[in-house]
Amino acid sequence: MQPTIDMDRLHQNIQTAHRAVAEIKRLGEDFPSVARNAERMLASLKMLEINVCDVIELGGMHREDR
Amino acid sequence: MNYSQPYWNPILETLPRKTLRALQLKKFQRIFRWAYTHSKFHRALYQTAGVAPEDIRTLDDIRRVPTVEKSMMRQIQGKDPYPYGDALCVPLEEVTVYRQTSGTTGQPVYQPDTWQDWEWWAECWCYILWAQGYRPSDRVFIPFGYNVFVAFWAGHYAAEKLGCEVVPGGVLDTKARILKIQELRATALMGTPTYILSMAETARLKMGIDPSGLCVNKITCAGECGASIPSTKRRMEEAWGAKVYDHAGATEIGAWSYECAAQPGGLHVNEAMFLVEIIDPETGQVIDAPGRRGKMVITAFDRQALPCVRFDSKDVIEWAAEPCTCGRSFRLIRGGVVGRADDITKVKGVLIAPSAIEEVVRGIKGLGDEYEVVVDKTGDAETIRLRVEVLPEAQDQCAWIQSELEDQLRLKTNLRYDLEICGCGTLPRYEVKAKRFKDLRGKKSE
Repeated sequence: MQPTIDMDRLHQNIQTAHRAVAEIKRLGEDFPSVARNAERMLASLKMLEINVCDVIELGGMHREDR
Repeated sequence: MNYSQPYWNPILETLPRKTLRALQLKKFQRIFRWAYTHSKFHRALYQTAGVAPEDIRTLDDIRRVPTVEKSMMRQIQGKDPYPYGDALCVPLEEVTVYRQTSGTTGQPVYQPDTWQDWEWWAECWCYILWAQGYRPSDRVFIPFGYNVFVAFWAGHYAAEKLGCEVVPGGVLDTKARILKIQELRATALMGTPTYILSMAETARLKMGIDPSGLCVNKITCAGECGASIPSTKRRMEEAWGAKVYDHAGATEIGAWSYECAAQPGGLHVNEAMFLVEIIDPETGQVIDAPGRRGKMVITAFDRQALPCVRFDSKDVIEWAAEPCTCGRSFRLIRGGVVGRADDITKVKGVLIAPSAIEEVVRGIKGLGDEYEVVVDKTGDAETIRLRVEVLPEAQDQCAWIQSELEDQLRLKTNLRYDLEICGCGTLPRYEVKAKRFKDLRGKKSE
């Protein structure tokens, strides 16, 4: 039996992380080492969004689906 | 972390079909809108067909979207934004890596990827490797030439991402690679079936090393359909004493399918990342029922620089009838990619797929791994010649082998061949994709 996974909480934390890294990138516009590393972090965060957020944002995902 | 978790993504890989289909619709809408709004090439194609993003409301609406063929991509490349042409959906400065197709079917197609695209490529491969039992304790040897071809680049990055230790076996020759596998006690390999067999032969015949005595316990194949051909898979597994798994992907598409550890005789389509449609080449209708072959039209949901939306891959596949015992809800294609629409050709009026010949040759004990098929035409008469190698230890069984080969070929391919038995080691050896099927009809000057 698969363990229960708190998808809602994962989703919320990924969104929070995305907002934080996007802000870091914006603040680092004149700071190449910050901007480029933030860009790469956003690409990694996109993979979390693909793995977690897309299906949550469907809205119709039932509890028993998780 | 729980390494006994069988799924890379325990949610998406076991999603109920209804939810999975809803997710696919949402993701198709998103990538279609992306291509429509960011690529001049795609927008012109869709406007000509009279279809816009707001027209895609159901999965059936997707059929209204015109397919894209490789020849179209060839036509637009070499123009601005150079060299990708106007299908490019991002500014050139966001492209971080160039690859190209192998050129098996003509002029290579250029493939740009952003860093996010590259993360996505590796992510798709993580689904493959995790399902095949790769874990951080593995030491993965990759005997691949690290060049402009995508081949095992993404496998390398994915293995790193999983936490495996990766040994890039780049410019080493075959003997040096085998020694390195032995020295480091590598537990896993990636390669084309052709090269995996060729390495085993080199180890055994030229180095006196039995590959099954090394530490390799799993091999992931790509680039050719051999790992889904039972007799070829069996030869590789016996030679290396390892489990051999197939995977199918393409430069313009991504890594779209994988065999799981249950080895169900087919490949799971990663339906969270791709939409696979099987199209009847005669009627153009979608085939949803199992057991009927058609050509694959595929969409990659998350690839941005050069989107892959309803790409006509020419791969010939069919859905499996039964779900896999592994618990994944991703559908299976039976027997992997069984051929390419381009490769399936008529000889003497009979349709033939080269993979059917391989299944026969590799299924006969005493024959070597290599073979060559030459189709030719003299006047109105077509000929098909099959060259095979008999292993040194089976030289005294040549008559039986020839008779068995004739019978099996007639049974499985409905054709009579001119057979040529060659000495062991005389046919060409290949390191990446083999070119064993040569059609000389129409290639001679009249």
